[in-house]
Amino acid sequence: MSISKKLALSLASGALLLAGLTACGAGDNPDGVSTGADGAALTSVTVRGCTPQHPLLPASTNEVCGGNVLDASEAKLIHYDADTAAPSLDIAESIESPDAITWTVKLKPGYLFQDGSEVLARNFVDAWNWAAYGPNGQVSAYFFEVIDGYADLQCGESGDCEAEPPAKEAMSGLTVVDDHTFTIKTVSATSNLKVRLGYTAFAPQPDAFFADESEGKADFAAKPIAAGPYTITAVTDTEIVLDRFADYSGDFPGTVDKVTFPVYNDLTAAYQDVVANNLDMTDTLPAGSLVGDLWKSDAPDRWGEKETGVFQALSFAPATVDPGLADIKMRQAISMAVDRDEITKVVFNGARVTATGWVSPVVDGYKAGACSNCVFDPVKAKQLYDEAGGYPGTLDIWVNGDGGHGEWAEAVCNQLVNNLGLACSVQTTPNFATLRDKINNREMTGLYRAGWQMDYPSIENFLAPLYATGAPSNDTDYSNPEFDVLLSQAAAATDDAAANALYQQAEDLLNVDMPVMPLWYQQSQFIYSDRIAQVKMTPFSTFDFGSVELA
Amino acid sequence: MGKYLLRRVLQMVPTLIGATLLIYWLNFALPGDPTAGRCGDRPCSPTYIAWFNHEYHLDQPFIVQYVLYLGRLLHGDLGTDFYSHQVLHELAIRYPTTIKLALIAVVFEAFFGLLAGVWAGVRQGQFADSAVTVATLLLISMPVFVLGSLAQLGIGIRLGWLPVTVSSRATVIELLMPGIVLGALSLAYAARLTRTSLVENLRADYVRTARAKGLSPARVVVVHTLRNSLLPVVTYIGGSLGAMMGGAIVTEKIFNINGIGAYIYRAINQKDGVGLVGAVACLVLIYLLVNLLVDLLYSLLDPRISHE
Repeated sequence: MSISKKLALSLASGALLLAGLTACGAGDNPDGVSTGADGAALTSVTVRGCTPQHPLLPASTNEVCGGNVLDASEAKLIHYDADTAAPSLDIAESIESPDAITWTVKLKPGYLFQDGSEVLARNFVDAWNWAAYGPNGQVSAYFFEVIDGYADLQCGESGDCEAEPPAKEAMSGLTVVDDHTFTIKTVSATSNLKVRLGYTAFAPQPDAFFADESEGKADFAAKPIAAGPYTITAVTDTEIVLDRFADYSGDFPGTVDKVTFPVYNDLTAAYQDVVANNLDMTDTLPAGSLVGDLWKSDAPDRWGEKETGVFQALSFAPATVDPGLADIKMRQAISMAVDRDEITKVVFNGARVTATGWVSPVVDGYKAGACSNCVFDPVKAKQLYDEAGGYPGTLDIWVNGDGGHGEWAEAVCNQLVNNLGLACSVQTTPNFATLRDKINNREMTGLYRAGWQMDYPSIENFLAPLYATGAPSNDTDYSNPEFDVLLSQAAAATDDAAANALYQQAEDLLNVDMPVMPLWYQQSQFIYSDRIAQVKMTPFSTFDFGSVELA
Repeated sequence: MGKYLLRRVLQMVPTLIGATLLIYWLNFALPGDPTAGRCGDRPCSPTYIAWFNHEYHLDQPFIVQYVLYLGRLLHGDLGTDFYSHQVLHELAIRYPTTIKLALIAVVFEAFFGLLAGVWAGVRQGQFADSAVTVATLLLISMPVFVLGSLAQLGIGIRLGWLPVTVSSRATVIELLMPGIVLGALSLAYAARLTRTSLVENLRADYVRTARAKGLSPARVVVVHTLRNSLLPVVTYIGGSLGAMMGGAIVTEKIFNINGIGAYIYRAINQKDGVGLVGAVACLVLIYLLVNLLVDLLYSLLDPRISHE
């Protein structure tokens, strides 16, 4: 075979290779339409985004990547204040109940969806029924548990919705009275229902949503229509684009015309881009940038900090799993032996605030100093530890390795070793999912990391889901009938102050039983580019687009 | 030759099926529950877990899951990943970016690697030789995340010469720095291979003959020696192209490239079998095709090798 023929064949196989490459990546790039008008007066900002784990539907979005976007696009009955998280009416004109069980919701007339249709009572009722309906597989469906008739919408035990379909398609607790009025009946008294209704899952859906025939409403989720200040105009794998909704009806508009969320897979990359002024804002900083306050010098005068409703703690493994922790004195001793102030100062450079209880200071009903066992007292700790007879073997502290938790866990461990004289070691799981898996299976002895970000700004949200008997996130199997009774009494109290007082009494019981030792409350750090003159962060760690001022 | 090509292409089919089976099984054997991390700092509700497992057939035995997957594959459907995205669509968007990145890296690697190798080989024992040895040693000993972060900080942020990260458009300019970082390690190896191979061949009898015939030194090196010296280098560069596509995870993370490495990393973390198998099967296919191309190039470089 001649050389030229061989060359031809090699070229042919090269073409084959290219064909293979294109087979794996068949064209169809995102069109990257940049809605022109660079010269025009359109203002825009870019914000670090990440890939939403679920389709962009209110009841299937429970994590920040989708939540940050829906926060700007969805309007709900209730709006949380961007500064204090205090609830106020948004779409609702009034939400009233004589007994905290039956609620009448009246809507403001003329509140518009982004497709121009009006937000009516049925848009709420139908959306909630759809979200709670088992076969639709909405991850936040359990938020509707409080509504009477929720159980009828769930599939059988097997989870096979075809074999065991739900008994009904609509919750009996929801009734449309007229276009602008509907009623909610809760399963039991729920005094803070009003506050809960500001959570994203309770957003209304336009008629276009119900007209969408695609599986899982995928077509709608690709271009959602909501009633909030921004319209989602493009969702691709690399960016999510929002445009200001010109006919927005609410009182909380954004200041810029366009918000783009480019997808970042890595916090450091986004951080570097803001430092270099290629990206306008990032709401989460890589752990390394907090060391020595590097972030403040990397982005001088372009940073901010906000106390957010995030509570970090260490859970004690249930006594059934770890008998060594069964004695209350042991748990008190461990909690008292940790100098939280020292760790928040040395490890976090003040980016965390020492916790004095189980409830975040950002919510109504917070009472400082609920945890007397959280006050550092090495002498008393050692005494209690000896009285409890010492911990058998090595005490493990479990954290996930992908969240920058190793350093503080080591610090806690060292303090326990120094102050109590026990053997301690930090155990790391490869990622968060593995830690969660081990917690769900109750596989770990010792202590494990527990973090809680509030869904809605209520003291109840820091207590009921975590410590009520059999509650979904009760990872320590804590059960105290007195605690449960106080919670239900608080839920039935129609007066906010009375309810808060009862919740605080419940919190005091946690100090008696110590199922979980509080560590610190989180502050969220953010930096922004030199294009931004001012931006605020909400207590939910999202940016408040109503506060953005361009330089 | 045509027969040879056909045989090689047909051989790819069982290889690909075997690869998908193996990857699917490995992913299945990973410990952990994929729904564990899907609901934030809390366990998912039992209703959702049941729905999720049913939806993605995770409640079926392994072999049923795999057969269902193959069945969909035959219809050209690569399935839906845990982010509810069509895998085919994801690959269609991500592969061009990764291929662009890998090609930039390979071009950089081949061009500068050969240049440095030839320079060092011809000036064996002189300053040039030592300089190349030291420079390549430095590159080989530097982990890619150090090199990447340093380049990002120095060239991107401090000097501002090149973009710090890669946007969704993934232009060539944006991919230049990551491409160079990605190709740097293989460049060092390519240079050393070229140098060694060249030095060896320069001592061969036919080179002495060529010189004795009075050919110009340039012609002796380029036409007579270099072509024969390229065999191991071409093998290496071909292999490195495949390795770069799969191994770009670190580089893609540093420069925020929405490529295939980032996708595979995410799929493994989520225990997302459908996404993982689709992405890796494509990698295997590319690897096989690159290897075929390298084998064909052999006969072009060395007339003694024939695929008849």
